[in-house]
Amino acid sequence: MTAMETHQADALTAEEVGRTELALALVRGQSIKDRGVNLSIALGEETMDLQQEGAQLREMRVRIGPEHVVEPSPGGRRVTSPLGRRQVARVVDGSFAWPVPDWVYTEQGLPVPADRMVPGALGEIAVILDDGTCLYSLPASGPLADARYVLPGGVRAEAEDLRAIRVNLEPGVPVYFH
Amino acid sequence: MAPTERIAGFFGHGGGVAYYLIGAMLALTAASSLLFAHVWGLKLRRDVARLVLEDGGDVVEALRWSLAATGEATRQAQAGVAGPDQPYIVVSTGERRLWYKKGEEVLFTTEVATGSGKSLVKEGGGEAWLFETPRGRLTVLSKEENPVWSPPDWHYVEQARQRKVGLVRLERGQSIDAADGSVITVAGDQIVKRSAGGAETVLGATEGHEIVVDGKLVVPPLGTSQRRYLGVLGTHRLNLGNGYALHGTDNPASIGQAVSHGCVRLRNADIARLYAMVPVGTAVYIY
Repeated sequence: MTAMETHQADALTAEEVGRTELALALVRGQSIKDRGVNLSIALGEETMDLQQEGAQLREMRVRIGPEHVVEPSPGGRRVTSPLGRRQVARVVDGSFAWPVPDWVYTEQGLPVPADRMVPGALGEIAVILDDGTCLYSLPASGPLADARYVLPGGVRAEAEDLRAIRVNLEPGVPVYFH
Repeated sequence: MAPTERIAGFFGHGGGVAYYLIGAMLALTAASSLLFAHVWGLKLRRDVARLVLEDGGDVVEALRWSLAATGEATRQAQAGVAGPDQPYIVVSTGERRLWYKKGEEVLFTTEVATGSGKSLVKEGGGEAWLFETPRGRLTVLSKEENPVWSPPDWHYVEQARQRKVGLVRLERGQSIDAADGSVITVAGDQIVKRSAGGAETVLGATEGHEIVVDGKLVVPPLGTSQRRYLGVLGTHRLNLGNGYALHGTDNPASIGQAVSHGCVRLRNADIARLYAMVPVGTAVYIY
């Protein structure tokens, strides 16, 4: 690669980084200005705030699932945390049977069961967003019960925190990832 | 030689060169104009980018396009919000705790009692009162020391049902004839009992010790002393509107529980501290 090409590549990368940073700042700005109750998830800081009009109603520590290529190349499928605005689709409790993706078992070296509908797989309380992203709590059993493992593309919060804010998490409540 | 003759002579002897020079000048002017337009366009884009970064309104406009924000969210964002530097109160009904915050800094926090979530069917059935602390954004509208509580109707309905007695409303200008021959009526701002002999006695009423006549609990008219309880709301009250408030209590053991009729109840020492710290107009977020 010539010096000119290197320079052009650096410039393009810087432009992409700048664009991403701007997008994140815009998402953060939108969450602050949202007049209704909303969740604001800072991926880098691993925090989740319940907020309204920029007032922080509750700050919660969370664990962000890592980015993963869950199927090997070629045609590998990348699972990442969302960016931007999503919304609450539903809140479920410990009786909810979640269809655990097969790659969750594979990643942990577990045999993939025939029936992957696991009641309580997302803990005693979980929030499912409109794009399928899960904000869940550590379950007592099941493939997500290992505290060291955080679901790629998901967010793990403390059950106590989710319980405390549950009444506010009606379908349609915005969730901002930034 | 006159100037016009000089010009005519110039074109007459070297006309081709002259046209060439003029054409070159026009081409240079056009190139300069294009360059100027390009630079102006770059400057405009730079300024727009700066506005996007520095101005909230333009951020919202940018969001509309770049992040596909919904029209409703954009409208809400454009409507403006409370100042980010203003302190605010947060109440968690789930944890029954209150925080007074500025930004992310907690200035004060304490336990509270919140709405019980119970309901009470109104007289005649059908509708019911729901004793929940309202969620959302409220505002401190006014502050009071030594607040007086004028019990709402639900208090008398609740008391009557607890004591398994009937309910009778006493209005100004009306009276209740008692079985012993006396008459219960309103004199000024007092409820009095007039005996058959003409003696008049002011009746007392406190929380849990309301006036009962012949097995019926009397609902005093608003404005009478018998419908004004001192001390029930503690030492201070911050009014939030629609009958809701942050206030003290004469029952500190209730703090930390979901037992109120919708107000947020604090220990007297805590509400006194909050009263001193919180200005009228403070936002109160209840979740």
